[in-house]
This record gives sequence, C-alpha cells and structure tokens, in this order.
Amino acid sequence: MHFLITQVLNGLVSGMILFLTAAGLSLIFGLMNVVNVAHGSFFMLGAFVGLSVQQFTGSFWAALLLAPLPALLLGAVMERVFIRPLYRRGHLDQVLLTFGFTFVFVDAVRWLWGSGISSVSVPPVLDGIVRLGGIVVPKYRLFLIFVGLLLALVLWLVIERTRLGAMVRASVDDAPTAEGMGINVPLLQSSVFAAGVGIAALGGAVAAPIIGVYTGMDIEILIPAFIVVVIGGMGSLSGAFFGSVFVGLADTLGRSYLPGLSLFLVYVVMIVVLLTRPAGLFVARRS
Amino acid sequence: MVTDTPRGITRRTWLAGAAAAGTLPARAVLAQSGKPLRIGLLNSFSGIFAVLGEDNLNGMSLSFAQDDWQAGGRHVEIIKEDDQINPQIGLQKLKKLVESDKVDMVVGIQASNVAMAVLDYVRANKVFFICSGAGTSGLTRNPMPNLFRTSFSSPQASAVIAKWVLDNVGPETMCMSADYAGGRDTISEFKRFYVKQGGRVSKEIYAPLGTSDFSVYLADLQAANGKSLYAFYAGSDAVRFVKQYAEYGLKDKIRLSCLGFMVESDVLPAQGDAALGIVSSLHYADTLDNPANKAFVAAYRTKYKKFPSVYSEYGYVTGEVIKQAMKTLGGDTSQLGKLEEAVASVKLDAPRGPFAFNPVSHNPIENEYVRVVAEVDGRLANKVISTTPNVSDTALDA
Repeated sequence: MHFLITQVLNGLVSGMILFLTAAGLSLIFGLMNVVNVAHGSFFMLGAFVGLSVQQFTGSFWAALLLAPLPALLLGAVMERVFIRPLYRRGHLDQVLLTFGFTFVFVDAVRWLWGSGISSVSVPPVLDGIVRLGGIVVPKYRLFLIFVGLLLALVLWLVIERTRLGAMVRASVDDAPTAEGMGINVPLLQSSVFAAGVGIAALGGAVAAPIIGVYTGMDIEILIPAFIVVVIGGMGSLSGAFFGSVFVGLADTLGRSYLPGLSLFLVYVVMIVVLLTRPAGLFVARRS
Repeated sequence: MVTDTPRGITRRTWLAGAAAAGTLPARAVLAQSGKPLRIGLLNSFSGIFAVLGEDNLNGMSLSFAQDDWQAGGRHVEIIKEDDQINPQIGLQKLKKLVESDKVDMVVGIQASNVAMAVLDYVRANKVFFICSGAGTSGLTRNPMPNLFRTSFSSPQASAVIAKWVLDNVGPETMCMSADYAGGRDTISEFKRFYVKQGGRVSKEIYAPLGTSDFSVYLADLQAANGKSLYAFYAGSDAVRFVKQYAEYGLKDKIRLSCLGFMVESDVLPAQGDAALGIVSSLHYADTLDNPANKAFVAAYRTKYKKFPSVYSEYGYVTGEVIKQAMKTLGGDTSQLGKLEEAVASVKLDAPRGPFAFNPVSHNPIENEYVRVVAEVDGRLANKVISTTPNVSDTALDA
C-alpha cells in the first residue's frame, strides 16, 4: 500500500510538470488554432534562465520569479512577427515554422550555455525528505505538486471568473463574433501566446531541480505534452489538467507495475482515446 | 585543421583548427610531401552524449595540436560527423566518411549501439577503425586486424568493482542501469564476476535511456530493503540519477557503487555533493599522480578551461597512438597489414598509466582504479583508493 501511494505521488509530480507545459500548449491551440512545436523550447529556456539567475543571485525564488520573463517577451515577439502571418495557413506550415524554431532555440542555448547538463539546487527549506507514515517523499516534490495545483487554480479562476477570462473563452468559441463584440482578439492572442509560453518557462524552472537543465529537455517534455493535449482535449484548461494527471499516473504506474510495457503504455492510451473519444477525454461533447 | 559539416560546427573546434593552422609556417605547408592524413571522426555530438563526444574530440585535438597537426610527416585533418546516438545515422555517416571523404581511418563512436551497428560494414570494407569510446565487449568478440580500441572493454572495469563490492559492501546487491545495449552489457559483466566469486544479485532494474524522473524506480529500491546498489548511467542520466538518489535519502541507506563513467568530471560538477562518497572503478581519474597525467591535465586545462574527463583522455590517447604509429610507418598508411602491426606495437606512458594493446583482442591493457568521490583541492573529484595494474580483457575470461 505504501508503495502504491508513493507511486501515485510520483505520478502526480510528473503530471504537474506536464501540466505546466500542456496548459499553454492547449490554450494556444484552442485560441489561435496554432500547433506550437516550439513550446518545449520555452520550457528549456525557462530552465536555463532560472539556472543563470540562481547562479547570479544565489536565490532559487528569484530564479522562479524571473525565469518566465524572457519567454514572455520572446513569445510575444514570436507571435507578432512569425506566427501571426500563418494563422490562415494550414497546420503543416505552422508545424514547419515552429519546428524550425526548436533548432534555433537549441543552438542558441548551446551557444550561450554549452551542451552539458547542469543542475539546480533547491533552497534549504525544501531540501530533505518528509516521512508521512511509512512513505518517504522529498519535500521538493510536494512543493512541485503544490505549485502545479496552485497554478491550475489560478488559471481556472482567471479563465472562468474574470472578464479577461470571459474574453478568452469567447474568442476560443468564436473569434469573429468576439471581435464583432469589441474584443481586441489579436491583442488577446498575443497575450495568451506569451502567457502560455511563460508558464512553460516557469515549468522548466520549477522542474529543473528534478530533471536537470540540458539541451534535449525541450523535446522530452514536448512529446508527452502533446499526448496530454490529445487525451485531454484541445483548447481546454481542465482537459490539460486532468489529461496531465492521467498521463502522469498512467506512465508512472505503468513503469512500476508493467515495466515491460512502460514505453508504449501511454501511446496505447492515446490511441484508444483517439478511437473512442477523438475530441478528448475531458471535453464536454459539443454539437 | 578541423573540417566541420555545417550542422555540427562548434566554435571551439573551428577555432582550434584555425589556431592550429595559423601556427604552421607557410613554407612547411608547401614543402609537405605526402597527402594529408584524413581521419574521419564519427561520434555523438547531440543528445545525452553531446559532451562525451566533444570531450573526446578536444582530447584528440590537444594531442595533434601538440605536434602542430603533423603525424609521420603528414598533415592531420579531422572530418567530424555526428551519429546522433542513432545506429542508422551512424552507419550512413560512416559510409559517407569512407566512400565520399575517402578518409584513411575512422575514430570515435561513444554509443555502443552505433558501434555495434557499423561493425559489419567495418569488417566487410576493411575500414581501419580505432574505437575511442564504446566499451561494449561484443565489439571485439571476433577480433579483426582493422579494429582497435583505445578506451576499454567493459569486463575490465567490471571485474575490479565486483571484487570491491564483494569485499567491502557484502555478498548481496541490487543492480540498475539504463535499458540499452551498453547498460545491460555492463550489468551482466558485473553480475558475471560478482556471482562467480559468490555474490548474489537480488534485484535488477532497467529504466529507459534518457529517463528524466527516476522516482518510480527509486521507490522500488526503497521497498526492496537492499543494502547495496550497483548502477550504471552516463551523461545526463547520471546527473539526474545521482541527484535523485540522494534526494530520496537513499544514499545513507543503500551503498551506491558504479562504473566510473557515472561520476566522471563531465557530470560531477552538476551532481555536486549528492555524489560524495560514491565508489567507482575506472581506468582513469584526473587526480592520478603520474607525470603524463599532470602534463595532460595542465595542457587540457589551459586549452579548454576545464578538467579533462575520461573521454578526453580516450581522445588524447587515440591521438598519441596514431602519432606513434604514423612515425613508425613514416606516414605510409597504404598497407593494412603494416598499419595494424604499427598500431598494435604502440606502447605509451599515457595519462591513465602504462598503455599497450592486447595482441589478440586489440583492446587496451591498462590499470584499473577504484576511486571514491571526495573533495580534492576545493573541488569534487575522484580519489584513487586502490590500483589493479595491467588488466587485460582476455585474461579475465580465462
């Protein structure tokens, strides 16, 4: 039983890391119909910026706070200059462009930081382990679950309970009508894109103490994040959340109880979902 | 001079080549009699082995630069290709090096899967290949005259650490590694020696290569109640594994030992204090106290502003082997038999200690060291605690 609870906690941790990436990916797709293959690159960028901030200031908290900023700026510029002209083109063009960006990001990161792996240490208050009954959990992992849940709550409140959120939802549902109602949809699109990649960057910074900081982490997070979006449903925040938890748990429990199948278990789940609920597991069916 | 393909270009190697070319007196270049010695360097410059490939190239460049990129009267050219740790790409790049670049020899290959994949081609086309990386014993199981290895064969290091664990930790251990040829090979070598001497392996865990979160497997270890873990990881896997192992508080509960690659100087700074106390076996440590190593470490640090790793040393020794053989041959690489003879007879006082080739398997005969991670002169490094001299891979199977 202890073993199962430990593995469930581990699954939640990987689910939360996934959520931080998948949330933006899903929203960007929902609002702009853009497949952003470079989304993982912002995850990586956040980790590297966090690393440098921590090396410079010695503060993990400063790193968390500042890590999303370059991604926010770059994201806004990237949306304005490169992605906007492609809105009316097909997904293939968008994938080609953003796929190209992944190479640019990787080479830029290599050039600035080198191709080795670095690690980020956690602040003393989060260092060490907690014993809950017979279960041993590193404090930082609990913190990570907390960050994920907190962010999910904040995002949910913003989108469901604020005027800004209502505007985003309206634009997701029907952009031309929303524009007709006086909503500045292009501005909203830039903002959501920037916020989405900013959250991914925060995800990179917060995951860095666990998975390290290295070139290649972009693709490693991107693929499961895409699976989350497919399973959870595109353009839906709650879909991204439950999809992440679902994939995190399936992957972790699969690795632990069915190690031989672990590598493709998640893909099997995705295929089944695509066949039975092509819109995603956590999306209310629309007529 | 270093020639790069556009995709794999790095500033450092380009600069190294440019700087080396700049030091050549123009007349010497004109007076060169022979064609340049073209060396195809096939290694992993991307993915989790990127640093390993780079260190290897750095070591080799250092060796050639020390003789102004001359070997046996010929100018040395390195043509670099990235195998991306992908067997198919590796084979394709090897064919390119041999068939269109017409290189005189091929060196490199860190990834076991790539090394095994190119073996048939190397055999069929009599490519002169010096492996300066992958340690999988399968590579030299059927020796061939045109295949040499300057790094190691996995049984060499495994036998030494197996004995150490048995004598110092106990007769029962768990094993864990990445799920690929190199990892499984390493564990099975360890097991062979450990079990032969009366040890028992109570649990084996193989996590996929490039696993970013080991928590699943660490929970498994925690539940298993063992006292000892023998593990094998390299590159970024090694950093994450060692950090998370300490994060879960397993370090004090389960004694961790490994092959030295897991705590080499390419990953040690990133592992930090989490690595303190880990015992490993390897044929090199940058703290080795011999003149060749001191000179090597000093020159390497001057040139690259960091400490060499074992992969840098492999590259350096490969350069030295080629230089010595070319000197014996007077630069003539046209006859495979003579080339084999010249390389096989190379003997070096290498940074790792005395170096010679096993005449049968063409693997190196070298010292194996048991080392412990400790603070040395204010940095984390591997301190040698015991030395097994002149370990030969074929003698271990007798």
